[in-house]
Order: sequence, then structure tokens, then C-alpha cells
Amino acid sequence: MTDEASKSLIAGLEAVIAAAEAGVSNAPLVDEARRHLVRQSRPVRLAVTGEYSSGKSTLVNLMAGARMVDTSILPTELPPVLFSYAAQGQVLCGWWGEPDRIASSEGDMAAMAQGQYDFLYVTTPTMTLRSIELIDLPGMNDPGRDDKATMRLAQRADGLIWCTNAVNAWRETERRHCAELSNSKSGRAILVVTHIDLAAVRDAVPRLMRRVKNEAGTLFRAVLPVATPTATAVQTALGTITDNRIWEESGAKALFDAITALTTEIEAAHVADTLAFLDSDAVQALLAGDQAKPIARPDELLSQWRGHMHNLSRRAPALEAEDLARLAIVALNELGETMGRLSVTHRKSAAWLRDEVTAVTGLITASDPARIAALLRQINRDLAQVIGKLDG
Amino acid sequence: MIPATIPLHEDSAIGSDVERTRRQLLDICDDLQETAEPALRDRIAPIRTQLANFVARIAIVGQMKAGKSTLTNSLTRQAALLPADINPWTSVVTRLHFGHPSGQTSGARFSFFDELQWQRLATRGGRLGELTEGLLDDYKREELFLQVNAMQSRARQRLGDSFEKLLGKTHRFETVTSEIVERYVCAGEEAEERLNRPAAGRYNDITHAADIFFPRAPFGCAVCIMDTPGTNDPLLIREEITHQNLENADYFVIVLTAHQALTDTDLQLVRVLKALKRDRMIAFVNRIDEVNNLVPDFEALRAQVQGRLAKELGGERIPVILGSAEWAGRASFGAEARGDEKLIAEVSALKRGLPDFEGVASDLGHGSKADRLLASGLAELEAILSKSIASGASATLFAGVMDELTALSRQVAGLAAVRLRSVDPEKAATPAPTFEIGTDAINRVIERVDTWRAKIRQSCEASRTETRIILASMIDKRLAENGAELLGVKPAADGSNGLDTLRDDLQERCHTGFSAAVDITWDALREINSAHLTMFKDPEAGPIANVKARTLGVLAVEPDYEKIYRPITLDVANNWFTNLLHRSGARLKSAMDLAGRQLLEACDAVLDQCIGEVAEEFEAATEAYLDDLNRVADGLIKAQKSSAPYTAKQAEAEYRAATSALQTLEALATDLGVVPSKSHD
Repeated sequence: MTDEASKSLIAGLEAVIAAAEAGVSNAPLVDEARRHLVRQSRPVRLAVTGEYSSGKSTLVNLMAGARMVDTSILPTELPPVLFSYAAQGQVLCGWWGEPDRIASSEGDMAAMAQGQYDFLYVTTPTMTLRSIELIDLPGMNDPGRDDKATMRLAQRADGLIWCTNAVNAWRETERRHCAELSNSKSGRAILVVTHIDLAAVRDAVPRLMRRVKNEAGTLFRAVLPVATPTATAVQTALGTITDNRIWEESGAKALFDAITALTTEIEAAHVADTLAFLDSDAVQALLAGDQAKPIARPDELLSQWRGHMHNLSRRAPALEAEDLARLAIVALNELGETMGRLSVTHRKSAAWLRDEVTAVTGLITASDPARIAALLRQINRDLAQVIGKLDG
Repeated sequence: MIPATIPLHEDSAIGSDVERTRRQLLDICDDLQETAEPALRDRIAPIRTQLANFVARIAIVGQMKAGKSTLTNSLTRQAALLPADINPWTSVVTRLHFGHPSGQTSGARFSFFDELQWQRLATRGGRLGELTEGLLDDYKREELFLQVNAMQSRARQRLGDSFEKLLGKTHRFETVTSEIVERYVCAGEEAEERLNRPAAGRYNDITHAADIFFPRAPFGCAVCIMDTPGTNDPLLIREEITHQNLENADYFVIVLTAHQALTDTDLQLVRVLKALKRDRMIAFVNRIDEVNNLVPDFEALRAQVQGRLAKELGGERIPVILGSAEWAGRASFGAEARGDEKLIAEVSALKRGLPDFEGVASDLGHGSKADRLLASGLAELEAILSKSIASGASATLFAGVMDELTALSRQVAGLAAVRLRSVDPEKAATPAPTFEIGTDAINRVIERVDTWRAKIRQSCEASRTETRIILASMIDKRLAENGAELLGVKPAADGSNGLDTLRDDLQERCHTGFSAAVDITWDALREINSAHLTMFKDPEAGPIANVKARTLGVLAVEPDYEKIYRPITLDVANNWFTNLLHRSGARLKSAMDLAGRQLLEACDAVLDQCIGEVAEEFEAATEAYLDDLNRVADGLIKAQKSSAPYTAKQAEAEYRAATSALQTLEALATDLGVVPSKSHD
């Protein structure tokens, strides 16, 4: 995406936030706009994960063109490390949820020494990092650590690179974690098989890759063997390659290409998402100054519908078929309208029901009161189900 | 295939001490049997059988691709017998028998699943399938079924429709080659590769057990080595097979990999093992030849693994060896170097400098083979195994056997002395005894023993019932208090896995109940013995006074706590269903109820086994005591009658055999430091 286009998206979002904050009961809209803003103003974030000592840190060093993270056979005590581009290389510490609180090693030595921070923040002037951020997560399956926190961080990243050691590649614990992550990372995960340069496995890599692809293929967009030390040897400190043939043979080229493709795809998806948000009825109404249509909450939707249903069932015995049909259509139209004012994410999850409501409204005629009742009951059931999901 | 039989150092091969002792005890049995009367022969025969069947059973366990098969090959000096491959390859528990009691020293036997096992596996996924029953909508359960189905159709494809005829059968071979082994115990290749090695894995899907036989060398005593499929394999069936076989071993070598020296998955395995035999585990951190920066981190890594294991094992420090099965193979089979001779020399020098290795290093001497053996960890592993075999199962067996043989020898010697005097009063220093044991006295003893039997039966039952009630309320209380934590829906306050703490507590409570039963029984046996001595205190009662009820057998009963640690629904839930259960309170409740029932059932089974065995041992010990009493009384009566069918020569031979047995036994007891003591905690 061009900087130009990106700037216009950001400007659009800022306008929405300004307009929304001026009005009342627009909190959900502001939150959503802020989420889009964060996504649009930072590079795509890829999490590098795997079990401990699976070669994550060595791979991160290669990808970041930096030799910042220590590699060791002992499980590392290091917190997550976030790599980001900056003209000046620095090691800082940071806290989740407090983007402004970044401490330099000089400024907050006490916090750094005592490890009272959530993550390390490393900046380097490596070109590859201009379009991505990398987060090196603590290794899983380490008896000294809780994997749940790491899993949450992995879930939150835009894409995932999972490292598995060729020596004992693709075990059940890895499969289980990846299957759990793949729910939210469909098509956005790459599996890297590391340590393929070791004498113990070198000659059998093709057969190993066949098995791993066979067993893990469905969870990843690509399964790639990488000889990280070989690749690192032909890479200079800031990411320049000194021998393209070796670079290619090590598998590093294929990995970098795959990462570029993944990043492009994620960026495009983010842009499409933000455009849809800016284009939504709620945002358009807000920008047009129409304060009469605030964002609807799921519980509001439910109480409004229940009111209609109560009214209908109380009056039904006394009503002519024509009046019943008319009231049902009014209730359904209003339901459709309120659903149109749900927040974008809610609206997405409820989109199928809105289509259903439109279709049902078209089916209602005065000829068959029993059929009207059946259709309303159906919508009632569907609505309960949708609301349950939106609330959860 | 060349069975390269290169023992490290002949006289100190694994278990040679144990074998020497066993031989001596067998000789005593033979000497006594040769001279003694038929009634005594019957008494000695079961003791002899116990000794003859002694085998040290060592299981090699660990995660997939840790290097178990390669290590097994080195340990058994069978170059390339068990195939190792980049993909998980071992799918059957393979038992390698060295000096099998049956006398078989070559060939192999491969048994297939029988019809029933196969059907169970196929229709319900075996025990794993049963555990997940009622929690149907789980991906892992489906996975399991898919795998079982795949296994079945693979079997059909490889063996044709007639494969069902093979079920329940056994294939035997006179001689065994690695090709034959591959055919039965290997997973085999994916379809596209099968053209190159068509026979590999042909029968593995239906093979249930593989037994391969060798002469006793290179080991010092009879040994059975079990190579197991790795845990943490996405093919769940392999893991299930390993779990089913763990209880059949006395010693465990846990193979870890230096890439990831100790993971949560390994600790799960250790938890299961500690319930079995907590003092008989050795951790072998393999693949040190493959990691960087080994030398500077060497001690730190060893200390960390040992520390974490100790935390899991309630403070107990088990041996941790850092080594390389690859190097061990090269040392054992003299294969070619692979360019890491420098690292081998460094590691060997490092180990020589550490106090722990002084003994092993000085036994090995110097030179490149010695360096490889030391660096590979094989020398340490063998030294430790040898030591634990000497102090483990064999020590318990020997103490019991020696106790019984001593009592029997004393009876024989006493009786022979009486006979000697009666057939040839000239030779006797004292006049023939006039002591006569009346039917009255015998009846009184029988009566007393019967009273004790009833009492013990009652006490064991009471101890079982009481323990059971306490266990049930423990389980209920804990599930009610923090079921959510146990299920992993909520993290435990202290960060522990709640279910394992519950299990530890249950095991402890079972142990209390079991110990109570042992105490009561042990006391009863000693009461019987002391009442016996009071009753027959007449100096003339000689041989009768020597009769006693054996007491060590009851201390040798070992509870099998592994059942408590076997996966139950709650573990299954912990891993796979957390999200699902989080949403539904009713499902959580039913999963907890089910889990509570399963845990109580497991505890029940443990109590049945261990308290049951204690009660049985009491019956057997008192039975033997009454037998001995009757036999000696009978012998005494016959000896005093002139018509006794004994010659002086026979009596003399009997006396000599018995006294020399007593001397040998006394010397052995001093050697082994066996003091009959109550130390079952």
C-alpha cells in the first residue's frame, strides 16, 4: 500500500474519532475506530513461536538482521522481544496496554534490572523491518513457564511463524498448540523446520519434509526447511546478502518470499477491513451529522424485539389476518433497521440473520396467520442464538 | 547383521554381582534338594523357581525422536538391530531378552493382536476411546478414530483381505535379522517410498508384542530391555501402547534430548513413572553432540534438569547423564568418526575433571575409545544401571530367599543332628533327645494361627474400607472446592497442576492404608514366631524351635500406584476440552463426576492389589510355617524310632549340606549387608 493511501485511511479514521467523541453514546464506535487506527499505523506484526530451543531466536536474529537475542541450550529467561524498525538501534523495555510508557535502558535501569516490564523492545535500522514487526515469544513446553500467556500473545499477532526442530519435528504438543492457534490464524501461519543442517538429519530432510507436510500441512500456508546458521553466515549485520546461491540453498530466500507474500496479504485485508468500517452506515450517518442513529447494542436489539413480540402475542387473538401481517412486517423492518446500526464486528456476525429477516419480511402475506406465527417464531429462535454469540 | 558383542569390561558387565549371588543361592537350593527328603524338596522348589526366573527389566522411555532405539542398540551391543530413522519409526514395544529363563538365546517371536483386542481398538479406540466417551464432539477423539481406521485399512492393503486370519497368531524365527525386525516393529514408509523397501512395516499395524532372544552376554545377569514407541507422537496409538507397557519394567531410562532438555511433556511421563518405581529412574540427556555451546553450559544444564526432576519427585535427586547415543554407538561398534572428535575429547576431559566421574573414569582408563565411552555417557549409564540392579528388585528377592533358606537349613541341620544321634549314639556328643511333640501342641499352634488369620483378614478389610471412605471424601471435597482449577479452566493459585497434587495426596493416603496393613501383618507374623519360641523353649526341642514363619515376604509387596496416574477424563478435558467445558456448567459437572469416579476406581484397584497381596502373603507364610512344623515334628518322631530309614551316612551328608549352606548364607549376608530389617517406607 502506498504511503499516500495509508495516510488517507488514517485521516479518515481520525475524523471518525473526532466526530464520534463529540457526540454521546458513541463509545463502541470510538473503540472500533481506535482499533483500526492502531492497525493502520503500525507494520504487520508477526509472532515467532515454537517450543523452547526450537531455533526461534536464531531465526529471529536472521530475520531482523540483528544478533540481539542470545541463543542457548538452556531455556531462556527472556520475556517477549519486539523487533521494530528505527534509524537508531536501541534496546528498550515496554508494557502491554501502555504504548507511551517505553523506558530506555539508561532511563529505567531499575525496572530493567528487576525485570519488571512486559517485553523488550529492540529497534534496528534493518530494511526488512520497515514493513513488519517481529515478536519473539518465549518457548513453549518449558516446565518453568505458563504457556497460556504466550498463547494469548500469539493469538493477538497478525501472523504466525512456528519453528519446529528437524531432530524431533512435529510432536503432539506442537500440533495441539498450532491447532488451537489456527482458529484465529487461518491461512496466516508458516511452519519453519529448523536445524536441517545438523549431521544427524541432513541426508534425510526430504523424507522428513514429506512427513511433516503430510501431518501439519493443513494448519499452515507453507512448510519450509531453513538452515539458519548457513543463511546467517552470508548475511551482513544490516541484512545484506553476500552470497545469493547459498542464501537460496539455505531456504532463507523461500522464507523471506513467503513472509513478504503473507505480509502483503495481511496488509490488504486490513485495508479492506478499514474501508468497510469507514463505509458502514453507522460511520456514514455519524459523518453526515445524523446523531439520531447511534450504534445499537445487542441487548437493545433484543429488548426492542421482545416488546414487539409481546405486543403481537397479546393482541393476536383479536386481530384480523391483514393487521397481523402488517404488524409483523413493522416489527421485522424495525429489527432489520436496528441490526443495521450494530457495530461493524457485531453486524458481520449477525449478517446472515439480517438477510434472513429481509427474506422473511418478503414472505409475509395476509393469507396464512399460522405461517406468519411460524416465521416469527423462527426469527425469534435465530435472534436468541445470535444475541447469545454477540454477548459472549 | 553382525551382532557385535563387545562388553565394556568383562567382569563388571551390568548385573554380574547380582548373577554371582544368584548362582550361590541356586547352588544352596540344589545342595539342600539333593540331600533332603521329598517334603523339603517341595518346599525348596518354589524358592528355586523365583531365583531361576530373575530378570532385570529395563525400559527405555521418552518422547518421540529422543534417540531411544539408537541408545538401546549401544546398550545391547547390537549394531543396527533396531532401525532408527528421521521419522518416528518404532511403533511396537520391543523386548530384547538376554539370557531368558527359558534358555532361549536366539530367534524372535512376534505376536499379533488377537481378534478381541483388534475389534476393541478398531471400534472404540481402546482405553483412550473409553475415556473420551461422553465428550464426543472432540477433534482429538475423531483423530484417534481416524488413526485407528487408517491403521486398519493399511493392514488390509499391506496384507490383503486374509489379514484377519493372522489375528491372534504368532510368527517365530530361528534367527533374526534387522530386515525381519523392520517388517514387524517399524511404522513403514508412506506410499510413494514403499517401492524402495517393500517389506518394511509389513506387519507392524497388527503386531502387538515383539520378543527377540540373545545369549546373556553382554550383560552380567539375565536382562530384558524394552524399547518403547515415543510419547508425544501425533499418532496417539503409539503413545497408548507405551503407557500400557510401563508397569512391566523395574528400571527406567528416560531419554531426553539436549535440544530441549526437559519439557512439560517429559515431566508428565516422570509423574506416571514415579508412581511406579520412584527410586529406579535414570535420566539420559541425549544428542549433546548436536547442540552449540555445550561445554560452558554443561554443569548448568545437568543441574537444571536434576533440580527440576527433584522438584517433581519430592526432593529426590535421580542420576542425570549427559551423553550421546551416536557417540556410544561409535564406541561400541568402532564406526567411523564424524568430525566431532574434538568435542568428544573436550567433553571427556570435562567429565574427568568432575568428582562424580572419578570411579567411572578410572575404570575406563585412557585412549580414544575410553574417551568416547565417557563422553557418550554409556559408561556412566552402565555403571548406574549395574548399581541400581544390585540394590533394587534383586536385593528384595535375595533378602527374602536368604531368610527362607536360612530357616530351612537350620531345620535340616537340627533334624540331621537328631537323626545322627539316634542311628549312631556313639558319634553323638549328647544322648538321644527324648523330646516329643504331641498332637496337642500342634493343634494348639494351628488354632493360634487360625485365630491370627481371621484377625488379619478382618484388619486388612477394615484398613481397605477405612482408606476407601477417606479417599472418596477427599476426591469429593477437592472436586467441589476447586474443580474449575483442576480442569484447567482457571489457573491454580500456586501455579501447580491441581489434578497432580490431588493424585499425590491420593497416593499418599493409599500408602498410609497399605502401610497400616503391612504393619499389622508384620506384627502378627512376629507374634506367631515369638509365641512359637515360648511354646518350644525346651532345649530338647532343638529343630522344632528353629521353625519360624517368614517375615520378609510381606515387606517385599510393592504397591502399583501407576493406576492413579493413568490419564482419566479430567486430563483429557484439561488438554482438549477446556474451552468447551468453560461454556457449559452441566458438562463441567458431569466431567468432574466421571473423573471422580475414575479416580476412586483407580484407588480401589491399587488398594485391592497391594492390600490383597499383603493378605495373600500372610496366608502363604503361615501355610509354609505349618508345613514346616508338621514336617519337622514328623521327622523328629521318625528319627527317634529305631526303624527310621536313615543311615548314618545319609544323616551326616544332610548335616554337612545344611551347615555349609548356613555358612555360605551368613557370608553372603555380611557381603550384601543384608540385615533383615523393616524398611518398607
